[in-house]
Amino acid sequence: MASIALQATRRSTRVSSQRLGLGALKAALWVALAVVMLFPTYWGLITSFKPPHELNTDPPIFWPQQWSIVENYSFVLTQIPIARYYLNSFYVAAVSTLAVLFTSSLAGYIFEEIDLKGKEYLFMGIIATMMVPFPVRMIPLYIIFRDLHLVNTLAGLYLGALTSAYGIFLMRQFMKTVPRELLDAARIDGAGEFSIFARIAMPLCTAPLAALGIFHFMYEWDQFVWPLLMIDDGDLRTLPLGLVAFRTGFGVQDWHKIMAGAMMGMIPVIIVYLLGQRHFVRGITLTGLKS
Amino acid sequence: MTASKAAHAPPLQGSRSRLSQLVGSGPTRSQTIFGWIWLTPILLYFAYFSYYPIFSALSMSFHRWSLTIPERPFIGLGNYVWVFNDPTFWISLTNTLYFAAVYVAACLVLGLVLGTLIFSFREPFKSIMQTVVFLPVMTSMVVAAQVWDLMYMPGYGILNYLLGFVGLGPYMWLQSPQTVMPAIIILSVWKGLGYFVVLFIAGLTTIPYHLYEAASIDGASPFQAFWRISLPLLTPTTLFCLVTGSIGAFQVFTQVYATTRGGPGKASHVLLLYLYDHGFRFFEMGRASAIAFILFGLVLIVTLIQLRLLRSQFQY
Repeated sequence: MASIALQATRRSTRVSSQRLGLGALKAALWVALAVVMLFPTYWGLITSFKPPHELNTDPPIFWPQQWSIVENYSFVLTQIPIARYYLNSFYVAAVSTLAVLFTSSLAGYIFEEIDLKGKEYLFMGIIATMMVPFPVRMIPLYIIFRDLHLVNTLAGLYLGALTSAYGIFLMRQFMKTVPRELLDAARIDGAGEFSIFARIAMPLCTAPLAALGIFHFMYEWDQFVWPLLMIDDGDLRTLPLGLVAFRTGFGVQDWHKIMAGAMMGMIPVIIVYLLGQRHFVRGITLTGLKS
Repeated sequence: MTASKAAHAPPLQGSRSRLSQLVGSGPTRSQTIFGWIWLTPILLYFAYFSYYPIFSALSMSFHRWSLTIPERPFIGLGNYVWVFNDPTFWISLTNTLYFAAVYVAACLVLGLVLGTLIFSFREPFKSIMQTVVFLPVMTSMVVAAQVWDLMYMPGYGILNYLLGFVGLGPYMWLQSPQTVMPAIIILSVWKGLGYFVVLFIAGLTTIPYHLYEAASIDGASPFQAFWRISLPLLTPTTLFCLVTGSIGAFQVFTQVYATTRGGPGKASHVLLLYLYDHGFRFFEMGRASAIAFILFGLVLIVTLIQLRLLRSQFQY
């Protein structure tokens, strides 16, 4: 009896110490991973807080002895209209996202719910455009916008991005989950097709709409090549363009200023992300797995 | 796959055609009108902003098409021949392929390993780590490039300082032709990895837990479980990451433009930068269109390989 009990305890201690070892290993990996992923952001942030004489030192200064937050950040605010850049970026991304949500769900609804002759060919025609990378269309699009006198306007940034083939595909997939009976009942009650779409189908698709909206907004927010081609005027720059322009002309002695600009471009986005993290991640997984 | 059930089902079967039963066959007149009224502008939009530019670019790539010269003669494959004879093109192509191969491989392997690792963490550590890994994805590429530019500084840069402790470096990073592409790849992996990790975690959540239970009862180690269960069942996710990752990687531009603009010399010149130079600095838009179609060719090859792989996946 005693030997069995002893054996049992011995086994359980072995298992638990093994588990403890694995736990310690995991904890170590956890910390290491977090440090590696967070360090660049930390370093950028801490650099943006430093006075110039703490920048290029040997050994490097990990925690400023002297804080010059106000100087660095107010320098950025006086040098570039960063609030304006924010507004431009936000405006372009918001208009494009709202338009994409509307056109995608409407087209998804029509393709899924209404029997139109030849609609499958048209649908394939739209989906096929996903295979063509944007740089292929970029040059003729530039010429189109130049002929429309939309170069160097914010409208030129969103007018080419009012629909999304991917969005139409995604919304059609989700329109399949809307029960036909519900729509037919409304039709028998004499509801118009548009109000059936807007009042019944759309509200049932809020989850994919939110996911698509967040995904598309992120994508538009970080656009770089197209705005680079379109925008010359300093006041019309989007945030990425503004930050690149701000950085040019500064040398190694000015990293605290450059980083103050970069961090101002980053921090609000991070706050928004931390607030709505679940939705972002769901947006990615939904859009990723449905393909 | 996406074909509507209604279009192929016999008209009197299933709930989809219940309305048709009530009001006669086919969609009602008002439905048809509604459909075409709203669909037509969307279709026209695609025609004007997608199809027309694609064919226009194809046509431009066969002409000597300069923004500043009104005569635009047809020169057949002249632009393509010119591009293929330009050493800068081959440098850009090599750099782009190098970037795509290493970036995608690193993101797949690290994404898979970190995804599995993070998936095995307990809450709240799992959620915290997912947030931490995804944070760089949310960061603007320009900001990421500038932060890494700071860390890569050769003289007083923090990265060389830290690597010194493990006996590496110092490197010139973005300022040396030997290290500039690895440096751009490292910053891109840091920026993009979270996207792959999140996708792999989502893939792992779809694998039934009892498979792992059965494996552990049979005495399989966690490593074996990963190799024999997770990896095969994650194949669709892996393929998706492979294809979207490489298509994105072929179009690498922002991080190069924001740090080196192709330098030092042409050591970090990439295809899209090459296209940008010819189209929007030299205004040789015919040549730039030819470059665009070469880029398209690369993307097409990857897409076709994916389709082939997917087909063989169904057999297995």
